[in-house]
Amino acid sequence: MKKKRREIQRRISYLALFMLGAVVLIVCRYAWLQLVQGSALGERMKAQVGQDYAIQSPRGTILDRNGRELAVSTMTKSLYIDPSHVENPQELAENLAPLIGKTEQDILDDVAVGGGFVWVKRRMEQAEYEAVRQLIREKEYMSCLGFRDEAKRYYPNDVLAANVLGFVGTDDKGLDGIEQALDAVLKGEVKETYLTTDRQARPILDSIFSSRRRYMGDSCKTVELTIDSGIQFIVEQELDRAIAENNPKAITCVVMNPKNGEVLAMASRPSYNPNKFWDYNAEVWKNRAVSFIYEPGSTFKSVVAGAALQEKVVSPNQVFVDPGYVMVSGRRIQNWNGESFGTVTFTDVVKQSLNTGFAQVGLRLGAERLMKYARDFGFGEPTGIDLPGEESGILFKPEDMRDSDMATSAIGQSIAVTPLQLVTAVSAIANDGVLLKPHIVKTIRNADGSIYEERGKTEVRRVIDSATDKTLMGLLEQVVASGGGAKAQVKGYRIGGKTGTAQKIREDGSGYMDGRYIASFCGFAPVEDPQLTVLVMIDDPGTGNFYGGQIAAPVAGRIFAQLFRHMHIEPSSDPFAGMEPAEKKPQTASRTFDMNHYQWNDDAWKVQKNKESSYDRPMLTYEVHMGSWRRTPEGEYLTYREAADQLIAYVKDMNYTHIEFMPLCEHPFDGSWGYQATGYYAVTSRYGTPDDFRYLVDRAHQMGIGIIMDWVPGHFCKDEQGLRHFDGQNLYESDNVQRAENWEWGTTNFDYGRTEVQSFLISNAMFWFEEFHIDGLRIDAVANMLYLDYGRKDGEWMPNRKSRGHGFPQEAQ
Amino acid sequence: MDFLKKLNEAIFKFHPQALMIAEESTSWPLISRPVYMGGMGFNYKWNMGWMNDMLKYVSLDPIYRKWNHDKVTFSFMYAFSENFVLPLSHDEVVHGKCSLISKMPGDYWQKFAGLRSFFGYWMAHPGKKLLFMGGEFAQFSEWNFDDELDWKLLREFDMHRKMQAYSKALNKFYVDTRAFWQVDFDWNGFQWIDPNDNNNSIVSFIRKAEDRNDFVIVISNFTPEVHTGYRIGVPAKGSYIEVFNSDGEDFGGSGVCNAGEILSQDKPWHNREQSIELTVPPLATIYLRLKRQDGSGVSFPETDAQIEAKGFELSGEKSSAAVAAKTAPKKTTTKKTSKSSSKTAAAPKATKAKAPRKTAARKGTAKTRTEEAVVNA
Repeated sequence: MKKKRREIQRRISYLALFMLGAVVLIVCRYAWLQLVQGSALGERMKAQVGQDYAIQSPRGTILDRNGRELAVSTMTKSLYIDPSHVENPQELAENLAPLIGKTEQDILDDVAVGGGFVWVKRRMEQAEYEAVRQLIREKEYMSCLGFRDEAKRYYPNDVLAANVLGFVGTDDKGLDGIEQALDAVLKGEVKETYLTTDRQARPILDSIFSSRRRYMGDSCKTVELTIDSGIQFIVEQELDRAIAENNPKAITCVVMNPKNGEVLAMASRPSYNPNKFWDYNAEVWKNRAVSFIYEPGSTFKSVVAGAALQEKVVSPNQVFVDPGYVMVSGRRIQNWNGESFGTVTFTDVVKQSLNTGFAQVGLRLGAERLMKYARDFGFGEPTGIDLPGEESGILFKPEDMRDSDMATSAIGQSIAVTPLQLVTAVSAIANDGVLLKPHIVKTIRNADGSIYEERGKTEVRRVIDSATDKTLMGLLEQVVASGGGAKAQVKGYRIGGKTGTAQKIREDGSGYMDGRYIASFCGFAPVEDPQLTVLVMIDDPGTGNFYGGQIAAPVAGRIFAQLFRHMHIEPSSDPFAGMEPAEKKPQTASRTFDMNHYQWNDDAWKVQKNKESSYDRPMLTYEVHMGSWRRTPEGEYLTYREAADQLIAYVKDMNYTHIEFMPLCEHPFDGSWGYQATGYYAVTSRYGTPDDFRYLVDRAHQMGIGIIMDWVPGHFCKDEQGLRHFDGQNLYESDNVQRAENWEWGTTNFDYGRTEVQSFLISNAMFWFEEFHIDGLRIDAVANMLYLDYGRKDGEWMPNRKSRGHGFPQEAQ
Repeated sequence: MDFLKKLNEAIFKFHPQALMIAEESTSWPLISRPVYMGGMGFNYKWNMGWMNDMLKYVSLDPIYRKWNHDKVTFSFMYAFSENFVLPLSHDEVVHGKCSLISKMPGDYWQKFAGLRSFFGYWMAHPGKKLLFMGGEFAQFSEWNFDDELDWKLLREFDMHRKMQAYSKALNKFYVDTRAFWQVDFDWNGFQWIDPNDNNNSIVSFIRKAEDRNDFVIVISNFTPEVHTGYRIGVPAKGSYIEVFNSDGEDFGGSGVCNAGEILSQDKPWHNREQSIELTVPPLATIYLRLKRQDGSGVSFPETDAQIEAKGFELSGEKSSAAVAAKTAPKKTTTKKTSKSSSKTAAAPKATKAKAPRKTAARKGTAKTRTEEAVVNA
């Protein structure tokens, strides 16, 4: 029994052992399948019952500074075909082809590829999608045709800012412009999701997951540019106009805010529509503002002038003798018109853009300093703006420079810059001499609207002193006010700038191309507080007129004019502009007046006048105060035109040879007789417009009578709208109150030590000669100026009471 | 000072024929000299000193003038140091300084005569001229910037109309006479005859054009005395003709004049070999010209026919007589125009000497016509 019992126990343990072994085996197999083969088997299972789906989150939006959309992404449908389930390829092709704008053969080719998935058309238009969907329903093509969602990039403004924005290729890859530069942050995220599918690989539980499909990926961010689409539009419109007028090869414009380095507009022509970028030549995709390098020509002289002033190798009034051309180590450098301007000041050199003068300046500066300043102004290296394909330009190494290289680079030749570099450098001039890094990306926002990154003003370095910069701005203002850049003028605004005309270099660098030029203008405004820097560069104009001052400056002028309005920039109460202050008193606002339409008829007079010296001619002057010579029966002032008839007839009849008008500059106070002026460039509106006054002068000349103007450079009126404390400080007057105040006459004295005051007054005198054809000036109260300037102590000079220049009301008592 | 120099340089660079006129009341030197000559670069300067002196002088009662004769003559001490403009500007006729006519002493007639005489002297004085509006017709009231000139004076008063006619004629004479403006800025255009006759308050001088033979003799009488037989030295032998007289009746004067020709005599006077004797009208300025003498060696340029026509042409008939003349006419017969002869001789004012005024038969010569043209111009 015991034995039997032992037998049973042994069998139980055998069984237990066996079962243990079986369990171990099973565990091992399970482990094998699960741990070793698990993933592979899982894949097999997934492949049998479902599919991976790539879910594309849309690409980030690009906005302008005001939140207007420049580039957006929309979800579109893409059509694919499953060739293995196509039953009748010919019929399918016939039905499908016309709906999606393809040929039957295209479809047959797709079918012929075979397999289970072939794209037929990606990113279909909505209408196409609707039509194809209809077709699938009707013909029951569910098994062989299907749609996938795909993001499509869309540029709502078509061509606007195309060169800046760039475009996106397939697979969400930015291929140019901002799209390329910021591809990493803009890019939509691809999220893969596994879906159970049926035999035809259609998702079974599609509806459950559909809500999770439209989520925004982490990397998909919104980019806000500094571009203002309004400004961009204005600029592009003007470029189109310039293209029509000048028929150039290309034209580029950059508008920058010099105060913070923001690019407000950047445009080139020819351009392209990024919605259909594939229709265009790859050449026009380029953003010429950063990738085109050229010889800047005279526009570079602003930089050289800045360097020269800073290094004190010249002063604005330094005299140059301009022989018309100079030879520098065998190279002939001549002026733009090949002519000599004689003895000129440095101001004239800048104004007239005299190459001879700048060649001398370049030599005086020397290689080291010339290149140092060029580098300091940002040339020779990329500006670092967030745009692809930026060039660094070409500068000399100072040690490699010969004399002729110094001379030519001082006039902007034999070096190369990009438009953006130039506009950045000129912005530095407009920004008190401090170079800023240009930027075009303002902010980058996360999908939820929070700020991911903000790019603001980045100061690179101070290039020239503030004081030097003020002088330089003054010189550049003169270029526009009365020099080569005059066509960029906008009446009522103070604009500074420089024109340039450079011959184009051959592609292979073997020299210049005859008759192929680049005309440019780069300037800033308003001078008293620059808000805008504008560069216009016209590449190879096709009409034979190739001077920057002739074709580029007017484009810039028109752009300035529109931008002033667009940006609500107030006109300067501009002491320089040829305007018409007043609105008769008591309104004192300045009004600008278009001065360019009067047709003069006094050529004979000029010829006669220039024949003989006035010294040995009779001069019998009739001094007239316009307001009190004669009045109308109603007691009103005679207008200039009425005076032209009555006064001149009288003067002629009485045999006088000249008329001397008491001051006709705009003045607020009748009782000052005009000796306390507020508007030096305005003929008083009491008696009519500037053109009316011109008519008066013209008539006088036709009758053989000369016109002399009483002119008061000694002091000016304290009225608010006048020059006193013009910019809030003592701009035109001395800082020294004792000197500034003219106690006796209750006026303010000019500070003649200031070159800008000298410039203001001399330009003003010139203005009356040029614009009104006057024959002479009677300079009032010279003694006051002489003795003040010599700084005599109080009481040392007693005015000769009887010979006082003119009486004033306080004397009347 | 730098600014003014720069200003003038800039203007003359672009407008070489510009007139840059400095109003400068001190004697700062070289105001109207080019910058390259060390000057201030203007080309004209107002002669404030002359103006002050002369206005003070003519404001004096004639009886005091003899002691202030230097005010008239002093200007020549510096007359050519600058390119002067002689200004009678607005500053002198405001703020209680009185209008030009009211500055003149004496009665109504004398005021006008004094102003005419002063204008005549002013016009002949070296330097360019400037007159403020209203002076030409002797506005009495000061200038008022807030109302028109007193044009009504011209409508209502004969004397103002005559004053205006005088200004017009004087201006015309000036413009037409080279001697008065061709050499304004150096001694070649001016010579004294007698600066020293302070007792009579008469100055006499010669103005010359570049052509030395083209000259005008100027005699200004600053008192209301008529001087008959007043002798002055003259630069050339020949017969002299009064070509302008501020005392003409058409101008509101008394009509005392030297009619016909005045032959020079070989009687040295005023350091000159030749002299003439003439009648000097009261408070008046007269201009005399040498009549062209055929064969006398004195000739006048023919280029400016207009000027020549005034006094020297068509008078050849008299030449032979003139050369030989020793007759020394005390007073030539007054040749008045038909207009004046038809007038009754207005009773001269009390202080004025009775000047003989004979109306002679008109000689039908062309010369008379031309002289008349001058007077009535």
